[in-house]
Amino acid sequence: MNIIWKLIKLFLVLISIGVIAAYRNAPEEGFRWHEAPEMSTQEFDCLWYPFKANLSDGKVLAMDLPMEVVENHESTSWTPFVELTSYESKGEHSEGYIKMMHGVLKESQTLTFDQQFFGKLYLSQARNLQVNDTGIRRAGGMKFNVIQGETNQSKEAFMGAQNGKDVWCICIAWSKEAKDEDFVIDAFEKSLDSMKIQ
Amino acid sequence: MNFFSELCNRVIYLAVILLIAAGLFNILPASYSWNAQQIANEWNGELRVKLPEKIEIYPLNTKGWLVQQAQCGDFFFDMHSKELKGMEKNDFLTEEPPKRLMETFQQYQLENVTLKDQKRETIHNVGVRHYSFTGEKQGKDYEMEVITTPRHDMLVMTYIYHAGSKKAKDEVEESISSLEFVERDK
Repeated sequence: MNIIWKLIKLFLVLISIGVIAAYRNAPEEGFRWHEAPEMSTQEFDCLWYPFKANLSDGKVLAMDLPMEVVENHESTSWTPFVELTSYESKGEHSEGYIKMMHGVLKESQTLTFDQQFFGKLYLSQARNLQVNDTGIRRAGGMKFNVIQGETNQSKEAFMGAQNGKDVWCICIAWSKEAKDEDFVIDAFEKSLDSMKIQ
Repeated sequence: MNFFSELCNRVIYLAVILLIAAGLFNILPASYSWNAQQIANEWNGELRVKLPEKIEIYPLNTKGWLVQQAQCGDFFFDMHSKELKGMEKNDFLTEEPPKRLMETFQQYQLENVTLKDQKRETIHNVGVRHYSFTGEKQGKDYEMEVITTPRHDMLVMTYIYHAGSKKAKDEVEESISSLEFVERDK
């Protein structure tokens, strides 16, 4: 009898240790007996606007943008392009900003994506940039040269890449006062990751 | 040996106490720590809804709509608000799902969105239209409950949760039923 009681007690002790371990590892908001089907914060966060643009070789550049953009035909003066189209986000209360430029060259030539070049496309926005970093970032199978820096009000990144006669330049900027800087940067990162040429 | 037996007893007692505490957690209503949050401020009062997490303003441009969001663990809460007039406003009051609402689903990359039910109802003192949808995203099934109410601004509240999650459904229903207009003290 004594042995049976000891075995029961040992069993209870093992169960109890399991309960205590489960309690210690439980989520902060409370103990749960069943696995809660919690949603990941990544499942729904950003609102996406599908973007498509035709390239000179008949292909299409597609990506998801975190902001709606307005298309405009730009002057090609002071640029090497025969066609230049901009896609710019408009929003008074937005903490993020994007302006993409699609230029088409008359003939294939190699461009240098430096501050001087971006200054021709984005004017004072790029010219007043205090450059902090430069590098390369791949997106949509293209190799973008990146210049990153800041102005008095915002942090900005200029990117430029060439795909034959098609040249893509992207300016993304976010306010230095942005309350949710990480969210804005993450949205732009995901947007670049979604870029593809079809 | 006595020491060992005493230790075993204490482990068992502790486990029993934790089991009782855990039982109480499950018995207590889920919203015991939820806060009623202001979702619209009007001249004579404010509209409030209870949510487990704080609503944050969406920091990017959204076609002139003010978007607020809350990641609430088992469900996601989105609220679009904008001053609308005429036909644009009527679009949110019909039995057909509003076009703008379908755009929001697209922007959240929800596919195969199907309207399951819609009804007019009054929650406390607030008249609303309540739409229920199902949809898919990246191989997962979701249910969406949408509440539209024409106040000074058109308010569109969207709750999204994993299809079949009873806990999420209960929480969403509890949040929806907490909607109320609180008059300002005169």
